Amino acid sequence: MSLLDVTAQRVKRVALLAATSGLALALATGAAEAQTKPVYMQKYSDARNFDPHQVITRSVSEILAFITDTLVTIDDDLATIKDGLAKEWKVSPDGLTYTFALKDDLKFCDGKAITAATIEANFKRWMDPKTKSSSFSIMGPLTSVTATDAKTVTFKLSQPYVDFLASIASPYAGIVDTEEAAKLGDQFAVTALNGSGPYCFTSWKPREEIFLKPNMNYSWGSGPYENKGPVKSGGLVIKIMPEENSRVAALLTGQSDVTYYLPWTSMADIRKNPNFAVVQPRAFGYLAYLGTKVNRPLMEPAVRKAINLAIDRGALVDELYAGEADEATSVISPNFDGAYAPPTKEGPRYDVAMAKKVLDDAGWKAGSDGVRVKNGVRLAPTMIGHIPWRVRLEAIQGMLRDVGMDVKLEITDTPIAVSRIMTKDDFDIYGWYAGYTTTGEALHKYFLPSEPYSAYRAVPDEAKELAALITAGGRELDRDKRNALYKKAQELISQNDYWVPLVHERMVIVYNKTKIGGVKPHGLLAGGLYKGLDLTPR
Amino acid sequence: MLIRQLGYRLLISIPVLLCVIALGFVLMMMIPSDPAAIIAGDHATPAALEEIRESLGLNKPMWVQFLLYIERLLQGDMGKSFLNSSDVFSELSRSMEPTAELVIVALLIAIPLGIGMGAAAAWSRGGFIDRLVMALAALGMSAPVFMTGLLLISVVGVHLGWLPVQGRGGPVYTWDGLSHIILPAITVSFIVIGPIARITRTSMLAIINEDFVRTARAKGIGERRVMIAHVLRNALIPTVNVIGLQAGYLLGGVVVTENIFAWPGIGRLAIISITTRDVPMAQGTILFLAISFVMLNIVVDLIGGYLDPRAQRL
Repeated sequence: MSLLDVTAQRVKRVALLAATSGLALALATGAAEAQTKPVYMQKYSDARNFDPHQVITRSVSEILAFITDTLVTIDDDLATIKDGLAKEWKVSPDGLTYTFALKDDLKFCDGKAITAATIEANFKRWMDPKTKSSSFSIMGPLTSVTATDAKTVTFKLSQPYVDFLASIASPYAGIVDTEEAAKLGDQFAVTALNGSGPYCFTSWKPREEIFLKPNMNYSWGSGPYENKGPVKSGGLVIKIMPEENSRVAALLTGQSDVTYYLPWTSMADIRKNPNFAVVQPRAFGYLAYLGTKVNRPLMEPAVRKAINLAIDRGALVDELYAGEADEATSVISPNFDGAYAPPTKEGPRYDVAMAKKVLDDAGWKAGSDGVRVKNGVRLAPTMIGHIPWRVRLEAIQGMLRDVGMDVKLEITDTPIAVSRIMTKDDFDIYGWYAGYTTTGEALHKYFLPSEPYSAYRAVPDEAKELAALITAGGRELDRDKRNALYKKAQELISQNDYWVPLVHERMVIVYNKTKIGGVKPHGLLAGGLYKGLDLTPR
Repeated sequence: MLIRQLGYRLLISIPVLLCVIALGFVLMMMIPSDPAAIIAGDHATPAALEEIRESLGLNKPMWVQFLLYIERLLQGDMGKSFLNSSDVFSELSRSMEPTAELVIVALLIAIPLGIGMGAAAAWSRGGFIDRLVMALAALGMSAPVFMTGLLLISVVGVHLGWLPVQGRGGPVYTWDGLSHIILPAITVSFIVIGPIARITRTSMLAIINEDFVRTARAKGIGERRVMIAHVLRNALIPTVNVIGLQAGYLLGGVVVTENIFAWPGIGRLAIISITTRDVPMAQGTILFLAISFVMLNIVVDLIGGYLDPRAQRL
């Protein structure tokens, strides 16, 4: 072999070594860069603050799941309870005492230890009337919380409550630094929040964006996640985008990595795009419904029944949801344990002929203009809703016109609509959502007369039997007996037609699979990513 | 003289601003909503609502509420946001910079481009370039801002993938900042390019046959120098006035553009405040936009006065 050949060989070896080293360095740098890159997501509305003990809206709960942890977590079937801050727990045979043993090395974002005393302080703050909590009622008959030692917390209930663990998994039961809350006053959860979750509340530009950086002290991940913590990204940047077109554009141009707030009409194109993946959790409780003001003269039983029969839910699903929802013939989605749907010929369904017959039999006769009249009164109810519901309600208005109802539609911005639904009685029908985690929670929250959103709030005397069934079901520890009680309750609800279920919405999460991985869909209180522990930028 | 003129302009702005504040206040109060319910949240009890109304003076007559608002305003207190209790003035200050950035960049695009197009049209008067420029100017003036913005997002952002389409990047002197501002700035600039081009062309054509221009040519000065140093320079005076007159449209266009591009400026803040019935914030943005419009016009008047001393009179 000549010197030239030897030199050529050596040059080749060095070049190969350099190339290999370069490739390894690039890969390592790329991996390191991916770990410092944040994940970009969107939400469509902002919040008043992020204090879990004060606010009770979807726009808050999805953020709380990232920045706080709860004693237990819940799987995406919204039924299986898993460990959270607690590694294990015991329930007394009478169902009145829950004892939780905390994991080791639990820390807030600032490194402060989370102990049993921290848990006790949180729940006491939540219970305190001075906190003016809107959400504490989800804890049902909870009466006391006591730290029995540094790592053990005991909860006492006045009566058994089967959804207690599911309620404790709610983001509203998220653990925060109550000392910081006391110090900051009304600026707590606005300018700062020292939380216990896998992400830390770092900055919030109202109406613009929220930045959550990784909690480097987090190492006790649980639930459906492989990663125990810390998270493998540079954090979460959550852009607030009320405009639908902006959300779609941001996703398509790569400025957003993941969202569950796309307009349904864009889903067909998104599904065809090879860069995007679409995933859904196993369970999601989100009912779109019409509520009726049952104490208003026009909302007599026959009219409510007719409304339930006059709405073509299939058309709503096909045209307005692009097929991405399910027709609702019951108030609770059939995916939930304990859910009951009435037989097809009895419950809510599309039967225009029957709707007309019901109205005819009740004395509502069609006038010359097709609008029904009874005792000189026109069947012209007022229906209110907020702007995102405009097209839906206009479609329903048309359907009700077909059976002789001249519905007056009043569409306003969301805060006005919410305010009116909660505090006024100057309308007959309203369109809104009901989010829930379990069948029991839905029945308690929406059908016990004492609850603010209850369909029976204005007519508590009519709901005595229903309230007894719901309360008894909530106390019944035996699953079959409980579901039997819930079934009777749902039968009563279905017979009264106080609510007109429209569709069961789906939690549809779209993410750019060329940019991120580890998306685990979830449906707890409409927070599609739940803890986001496995989210990894590519 | 300049200070006297400035003082006079500021003085007569005060009743204008007071009218705008009053009108904004009345309109926000007339919108059907219950601010107490918005503040209290979904599960407010009637007692809680009454407490909030009492603490904010919402149960007082409207004229009393207005006077209380003016009193606080004069003390520098613009109130707190109903959304998150943040200070209105702080949020406005934070939102001012992105809007100012957008307006300045839009003007930096619109003014040279508009003047250049107008000058080219005047130079080619009656020719193809003249017709093309005037057609483009008409298109720019008649196309709605939202249409221009959405078109740019769709073509440049989504289909070509050249530029980001949402939000604000870093400082404008970085590529991140520049890439984020280009599309919204172009969208806003479309509002004023057309009028600037048209007035520049018209003014130049009016001057082009003046005696001093003929004299300049007779002296042997080249046509390009004649057009730029003599004709265009004198044509700028009405152009500057038009820029000022267009300022109002510009601010209106900024409001729409900021929403389309999720640009975190005053315009977007105004829209979100109004739709969420955040009354103090909405009133603050209305006041801020009114002050901006008034100040912009004052600046334009002063520049016009500097360019043409004949205009410096009370």
